Amino acid sequence: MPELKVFIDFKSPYAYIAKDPTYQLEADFGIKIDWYPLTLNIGSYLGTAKKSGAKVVESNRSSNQWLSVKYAYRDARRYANLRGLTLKGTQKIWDSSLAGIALLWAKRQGHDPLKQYLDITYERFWKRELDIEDLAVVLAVLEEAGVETKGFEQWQAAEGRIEHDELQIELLESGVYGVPTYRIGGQTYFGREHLPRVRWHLEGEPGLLPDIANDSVLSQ
Amino acid sequence: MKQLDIYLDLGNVTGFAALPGTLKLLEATAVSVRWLPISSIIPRPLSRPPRPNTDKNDPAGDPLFEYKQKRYLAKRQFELDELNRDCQRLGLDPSLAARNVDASLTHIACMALLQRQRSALPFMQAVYESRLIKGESLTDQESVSALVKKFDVEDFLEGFERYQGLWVRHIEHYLELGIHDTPCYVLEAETFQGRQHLPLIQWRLEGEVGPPPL
Repeated sequence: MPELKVFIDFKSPYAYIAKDPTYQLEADFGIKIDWYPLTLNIGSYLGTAKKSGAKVVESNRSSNQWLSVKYAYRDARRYANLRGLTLKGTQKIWDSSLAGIALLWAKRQGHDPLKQYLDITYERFWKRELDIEDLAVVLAVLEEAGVETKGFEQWQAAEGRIEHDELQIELLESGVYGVPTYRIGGQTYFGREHLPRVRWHLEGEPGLLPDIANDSVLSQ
Repeated sequence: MKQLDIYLDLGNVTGFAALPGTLKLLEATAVSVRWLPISSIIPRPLSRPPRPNTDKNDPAGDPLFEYKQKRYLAKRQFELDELNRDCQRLGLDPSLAARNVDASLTHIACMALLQRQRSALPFMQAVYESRLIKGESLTDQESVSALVKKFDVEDFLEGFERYQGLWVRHIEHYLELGIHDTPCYVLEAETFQGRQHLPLIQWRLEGEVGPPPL
């Protein structure tokens, strides 16, 4: 069975709605996905904006960037709604690097605690119940997920930060620039619409490569 | 019967790549369809290089420029891989499929067909064939006029200003709806940009029976 690497960022609504259809692959094929954080610099390609309530109080976005951002939220939300997931609008562009560093930490402690950490962080962050820039909050989530946290505080500020930052450069240079990205069978696929192709690799590549489609159906 | 509006940009391969799946969906469902042109604001199929976010266009003044540059190279590699995958699936020459030509005149010709209450699809297919298979550009009025004449529009040159006016109003209309990329599907005022949404559109058209595609 080929190895599957998946790259995510907690501040991406698209990565959030891809999580469960991606988990489904583990259930269907008996694999363990290798998860990595890709901390996006959204401001560099979609501009920045800050909201206070419903009002935009600061913005350097072009009208085209606003069109793209507004559509992306509407698009992600319609799929979230189909599954009863809450996806609240964001007030600012979050720095998700600390949550990404915590992902790397949780990963060292086993697959199940890692998935617990992903589940709790995604769900609460998108309900706007979690400040992923706050170390105490991230520590509490790790503990709740069953992850040993002794040493995390020091690690995240030193080796963890270095590992995360070096990983970002390495990923970008190797062709991973957005989330979710799937890497399997020597191919890199950006977007959950490529899940049919990921499945095709896991099935042993029978016939022709399928077209892209959001057509994953969860078993539950 | 429900109404489905389908917007295609005739200047690049992205809309063409959606045609097999879209036509298959239309065969399987009962729906009234309008084929409409769009000039995508997102460069397709390949991105443009980043520009520094400074007044003087100077990379040294933009702290994010190095990141933008690296991100652009990664994105471009993915887009090239994706283009090759599409070309393999559709039997196209990647060098022709990589082009993004100015499709304004062919979009204006679509307005002439729409004004006659005629489907623009056969003309759109002919434009794609000219550009993506024969390698023509169709960027001058005479060649577009000759092509649209085959679809019984005899007055493209004489009525050009009128059709151009319709095209400008059409652009204003779809931008008001927030439509900015190709292909785009509009079903009951809901917009779906990209062919990856076809399973969800089909699920909606078939009465939302069974689990939704995600």
